[in-house]
Amino acid sequence: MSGAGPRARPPARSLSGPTRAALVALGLLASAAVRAAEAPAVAQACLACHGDALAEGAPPIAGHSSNYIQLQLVFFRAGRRKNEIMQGVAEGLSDNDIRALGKYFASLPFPDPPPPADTQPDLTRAGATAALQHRCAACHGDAYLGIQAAPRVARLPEAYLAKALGDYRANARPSSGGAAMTEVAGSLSDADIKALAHYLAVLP
Amino acid sequence: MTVNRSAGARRAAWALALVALGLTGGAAQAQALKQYDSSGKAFWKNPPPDWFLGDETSAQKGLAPPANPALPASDEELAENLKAVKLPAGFTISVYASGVPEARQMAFGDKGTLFVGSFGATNVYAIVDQGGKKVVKTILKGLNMPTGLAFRDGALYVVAIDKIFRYDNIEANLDKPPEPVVVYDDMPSYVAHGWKYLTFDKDGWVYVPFGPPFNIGNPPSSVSQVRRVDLKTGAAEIVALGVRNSVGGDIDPRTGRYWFTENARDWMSDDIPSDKLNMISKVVEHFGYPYCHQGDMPDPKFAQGRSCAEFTPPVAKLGAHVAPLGMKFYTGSSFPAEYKNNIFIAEHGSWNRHKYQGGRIERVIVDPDGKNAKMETFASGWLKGDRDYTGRPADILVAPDGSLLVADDWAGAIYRIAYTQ
Repeated sequence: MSGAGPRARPPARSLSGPTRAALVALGLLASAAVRAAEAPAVAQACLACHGDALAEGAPPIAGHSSNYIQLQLVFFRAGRRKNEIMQGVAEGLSDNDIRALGKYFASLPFPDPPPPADTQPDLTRAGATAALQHRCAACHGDAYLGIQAAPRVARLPEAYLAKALGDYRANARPSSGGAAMTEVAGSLSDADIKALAHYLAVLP
Repeated sequence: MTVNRSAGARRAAWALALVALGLTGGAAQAQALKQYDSSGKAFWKNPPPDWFLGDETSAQKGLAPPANPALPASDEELAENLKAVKLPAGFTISVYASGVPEARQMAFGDKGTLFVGSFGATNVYAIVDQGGKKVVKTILKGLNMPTGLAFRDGALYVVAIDKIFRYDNIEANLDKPPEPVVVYDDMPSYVAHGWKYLTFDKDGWVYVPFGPPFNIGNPPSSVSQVRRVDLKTGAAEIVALGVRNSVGGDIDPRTGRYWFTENARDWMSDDIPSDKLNMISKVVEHFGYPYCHQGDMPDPKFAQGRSCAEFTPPVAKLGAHVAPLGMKFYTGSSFPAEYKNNIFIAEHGSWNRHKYQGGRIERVIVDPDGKNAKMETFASGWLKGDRDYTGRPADILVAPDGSLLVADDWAGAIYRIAYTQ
């Protein structure tokens, strides 16, 4: 009922180049575009930081599941997840605003440019080992593209991933799904967090 | 058997506990059990990463607990959802209150306030009647998994993982609850299976379940038991051992005995082992975990030479992965006479199963000695398709008027089931 199922998930990669041209020619792109929900007025405030150009520290939110987006907004609104800007924004949102924002951003394709070049392959290997040890794929999927409210973590900004893991470890950010992230992150070392964030950020 | 509350003795008990756990499941019978040193404080604060999702087979990958919807269901959604709920002839279900995020255990105050705990929402709610309309007040915030609560002598008791709080004269102070008194805290602080349920008996002692912070392993007995605690003095006694994860129980009005639901281990298969309804007929009984499941199924790895005959079998096998949580004996008088002293169980429903089951309310008809248990589904219809819920029953309460209240932590609502003929 959350609309967080795979049906609501848009294609993982945006279309470009010849594929796009071919689809336009076939008139398919127009029907694909219809699938995106209409931007609610309250989304304008979000797009200032989470739009095509991300503000510093702001993760991409387009293409996450509706329930994940809604959960984060509820956490910010309740003051359970701390961020001055986000708490300020979320404070004024009604339940229906939050539902509309979840639906809208979930309907957008995930901005998925090629990952940055991996200049630290040793760190990547350490991250892969840590991801296996901590069973990250059990909830986030083998390709780390997310399952239901467990969000996509592949190719997110490295600094954001490190901050998120640190916040979960410090119990400064609420987990969903029976406190799963609080449990998992509780035993991470600083080195684990550094390696995991790097590994996930540069996933091919 | 009294649990010693002195800090020194407690540390000693922890230091003695050495916990063993198998890393992989399936046909790994011959594999040696992994040993953990559980003597340090850090171990219990953050149990090892392979404890919760440590036993899955490749066929079971991705069967993780689903996160509940971020927001409680709207009144329109609830109305739609309840149309699909099936009940025996003569019964009707309606929304008692909506907008109750992650609603768990319920208790009535003397003046008719319905108190409701929550799971991850950190809240405790008070639902009051204002001119025929139910108003939900969030009276407590920021508690750590305050799933369990109870009301006695004007005070509200809330259990939040490792503390039981008492809020005196609560019904006169719903808008400004008093500072709580910590009345019991001899409990570990880990979260997994650390959320609890509270049941007072007629002597005013409270039953408190303790589950281990993992799926299967050799836990210290201190984290796989049920305790009976006198919250006035802090005295405690162990009444059951070998209990995995219990989040529901009630006192049998016929005998005064404690009955409780128990969630069986995961990752074995979609269809075994069965979850349980148990009854404590003498102190102290061992209910089998981790050696034996459902009274007759030795664990493939953790039986360790023990026989199921050594342990107390369940009164009823409720089914695999149905997740029985809150339960109550029917003590009201507005249902037909044959319901008197039957047990209603809120089944939260599966996560560790390819096709979910549960997510319904079961009725158990059983003799006071636990014999002749018969089970039938009383209310169902919250399960959609293979793995989707519109609601998940988490607790049951008999209202003063004899109707049955149901807490739903998925839709964030309280329902009322009445007999109307």
